[in-house]
Amino acid sequence: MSQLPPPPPPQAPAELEGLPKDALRRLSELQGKDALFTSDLSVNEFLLIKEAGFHPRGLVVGSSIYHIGLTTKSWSSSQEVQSLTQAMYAARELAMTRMEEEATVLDADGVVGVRLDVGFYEWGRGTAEFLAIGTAVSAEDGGNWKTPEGKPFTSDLSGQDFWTLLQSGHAPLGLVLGTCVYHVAHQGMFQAMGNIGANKEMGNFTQALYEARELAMERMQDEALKLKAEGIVGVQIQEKSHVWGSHTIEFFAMGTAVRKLPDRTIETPKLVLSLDR
Amino acid sequence: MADPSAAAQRQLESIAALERGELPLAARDRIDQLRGPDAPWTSDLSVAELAAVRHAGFEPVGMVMGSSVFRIAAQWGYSTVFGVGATGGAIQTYACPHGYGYYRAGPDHRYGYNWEHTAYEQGVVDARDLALARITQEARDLDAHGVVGVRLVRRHLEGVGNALEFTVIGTAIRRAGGPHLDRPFMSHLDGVAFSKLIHGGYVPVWLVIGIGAVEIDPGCGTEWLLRSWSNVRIDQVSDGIEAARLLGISRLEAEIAAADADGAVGVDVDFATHEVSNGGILVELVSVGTAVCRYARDPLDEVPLPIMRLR
Amino acid sequence: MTVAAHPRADAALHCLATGGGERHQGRRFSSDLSVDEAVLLKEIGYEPLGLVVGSGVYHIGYQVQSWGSNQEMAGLTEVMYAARTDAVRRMERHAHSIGGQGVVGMKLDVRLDRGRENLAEFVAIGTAVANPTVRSTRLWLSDLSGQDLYLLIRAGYEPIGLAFGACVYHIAHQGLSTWLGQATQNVELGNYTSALYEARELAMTRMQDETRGTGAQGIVAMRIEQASHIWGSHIIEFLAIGTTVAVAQSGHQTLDPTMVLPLNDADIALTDGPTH
Repeated sequence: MSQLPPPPPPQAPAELEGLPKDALRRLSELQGKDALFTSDLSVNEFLLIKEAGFHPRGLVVGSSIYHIGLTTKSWSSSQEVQSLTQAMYAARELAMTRMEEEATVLDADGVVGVRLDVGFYEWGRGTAEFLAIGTAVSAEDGGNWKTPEGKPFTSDLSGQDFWTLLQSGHAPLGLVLGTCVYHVAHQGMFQAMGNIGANKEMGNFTQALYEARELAMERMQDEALKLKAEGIVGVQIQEKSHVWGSHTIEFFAMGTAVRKLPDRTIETPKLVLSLDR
Repeated sequence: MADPSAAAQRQLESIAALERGELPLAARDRIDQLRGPDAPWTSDLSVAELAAVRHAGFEPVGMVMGSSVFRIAAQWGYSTVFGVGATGGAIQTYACPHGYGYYRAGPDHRYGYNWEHTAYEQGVVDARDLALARITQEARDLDAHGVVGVRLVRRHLEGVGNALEFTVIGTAIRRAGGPHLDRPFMSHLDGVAFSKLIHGGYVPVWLVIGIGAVEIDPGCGTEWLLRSWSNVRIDQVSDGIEAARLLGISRLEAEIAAADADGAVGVDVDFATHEVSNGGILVELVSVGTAVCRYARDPLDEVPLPIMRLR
Repeated sequence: MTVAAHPRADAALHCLATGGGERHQGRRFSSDLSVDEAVLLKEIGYEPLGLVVGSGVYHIGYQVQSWGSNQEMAGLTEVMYAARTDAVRRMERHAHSIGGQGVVGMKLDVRLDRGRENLAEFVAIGTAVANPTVRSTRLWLSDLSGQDLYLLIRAGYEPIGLAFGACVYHIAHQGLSTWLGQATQNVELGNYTSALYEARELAMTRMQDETRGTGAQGIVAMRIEQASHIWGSHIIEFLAIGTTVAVAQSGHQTLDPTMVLPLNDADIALTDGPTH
């Protein structure tokens, strides 16, 4: 049983009536067989993506500006700040959906090297820009690499990791994330000062930090479950207080959900010793 | 939708569970979900690590974690809190070179002492033990054989007295059909290093820590040397630092022995000095590593290939 | 579901489950070696024994007699050299006491205590190793990593020891008249050039002197470190340090490396663990 279900997926793109015109014009230049491609891949990443049988199509971005201010009530207890959890979730989903939208316009099979950034501007207090950016790729053999819903796959893997993943018999399904904004109580100082000469576990703090991380990870697992993934690789857990002061922390978990490819075996790696470094 | 009283009730239940030596509810829910049929595994393994772990015959089963926030007993000098000899913690004593007085006979004539901070050392070890017990429980609940890539967060919490957070987090792995282990192994080595270790004839056992903390409370003879212009060895400070280092190393070796292991690899040695309010110096050596057992003596299956990179 | 056979994985788990295997066949060790280093050293017969350390805290203050001249600070050179030698000797004693035949990955650091003026800790730290099949009473020291040592031995050399030489030099504060006179011209500042030149040469000469009589045929991975520690920018210590080596009985062996073209962006190869 989960304490609360993850927030419902937003119907965001409708609000904005699809992508901005400039984006569509830029993407139209990237369509077609011999069209130019853009990407922030390094030469090595580019070569490995080609080696894996894919072709880069273009840099795709999605952005969403969201207000994530802290509405302080009385904070004498440790608890999840659900309004903030939902805001952080929705803002990232919005940015990702727009990025996927751009990839769909290009009819790409997936997006690799996705980065999710949160930026703050001086002009807007408590306002943050959520940015998703990656390189759309298409399979050269026309195989089906899309997700079961027919959308392009997303992943934060580099070109090298993408190639290695395919070699090891897996394919990326989608970026999965889970977040939990948690407030750790200010109170407890007296409790902390009492009985000062002894070592003792502080159960309330342990529980608060423990629960926040577990909730973030569980929500990420839920997303992977929905994608019918085999597993999640490269999970990163970030702890950030953004603009809220040190007692309110966002625990953010993100990874790439993968599925198994039939009949592939891992080649035995060779032990090497480099003489030039 | 969230009922505040229900949430508070749940927190109390979690805290009670922690005190009983069980996992908090949020952790149990997540582990149950991971155990479900068709549930995807989670891992913070990179793709290269995933391939390496698979190549070593194991598969990931899920991310596991253990955490503890611990209040450490008063850290400042024994001399200020307990008076001399109250805890008998002095390991080295330096007499006043002029033959005066006993402890603090005057500002210019006093003995020097090097104290070992046993309460602090024990506190760090206890917090580590709690965190490791919890990550072990999570791993056991997943029928894992061990945990690789254990990251260790050791930090002092802001504004909460002498609170120390100790968190360990890593990816549990399993070998299908492997023998049951009473205690899954723990390793801070990443998946690639784990694979090399297995192929090199070693198996990880446990995360070991060695800590030595010594407070140097300078005597008048030492103070005089510190203020002079002669470039000489300062014995009391040297001895205190050496004691902290050797304590740290010998504790590490004692933990390796207690884990029934043969040695430790990848030991990370962290050495720090802090000023203490009474003019003393607190020196601390913390070494963390993975204890390993040798299971085979045979050499690598193939000799490493020397390469020259063309850039 | 079928599980692929993997004798090593099974043997490893069996060892953990039953307490068997080859465990406790040697002395228990603690080392700061990475996995790569531990595995490679085992390949050339060396077993890690333990972390060894030697240290000393010294007062390294100074009084300058003449600001205007370029000269060696002989007193400081002496204390820096003596303090390092003392730390190394203490580490050697520690290594001897646990039966070490060599020390790898040695680091020789100077740690400054910011709270206390003029205090510096000199610390030598490394991992003691021994080859159980060889009888040897000699102890060699090396600041080479386990990987480098593996290659060195595979190429037919043996480490002899660590050599270092120091020189602490005072660089003159430039007088106003000289400054004004040269302000509009591009000229070599001969006195400064020769001062820094001399300091480095002195450090290297002292390092070379240390190798005499040790049977060493050369010094590898030598470097010159320079630091002002606590003295301000006009006083500089030059430290020349390296591992001395000699050709082993087997003579030089060719390694015959294979050429590879890596596709990694990071400077670590795919098969190289990010452990170091």
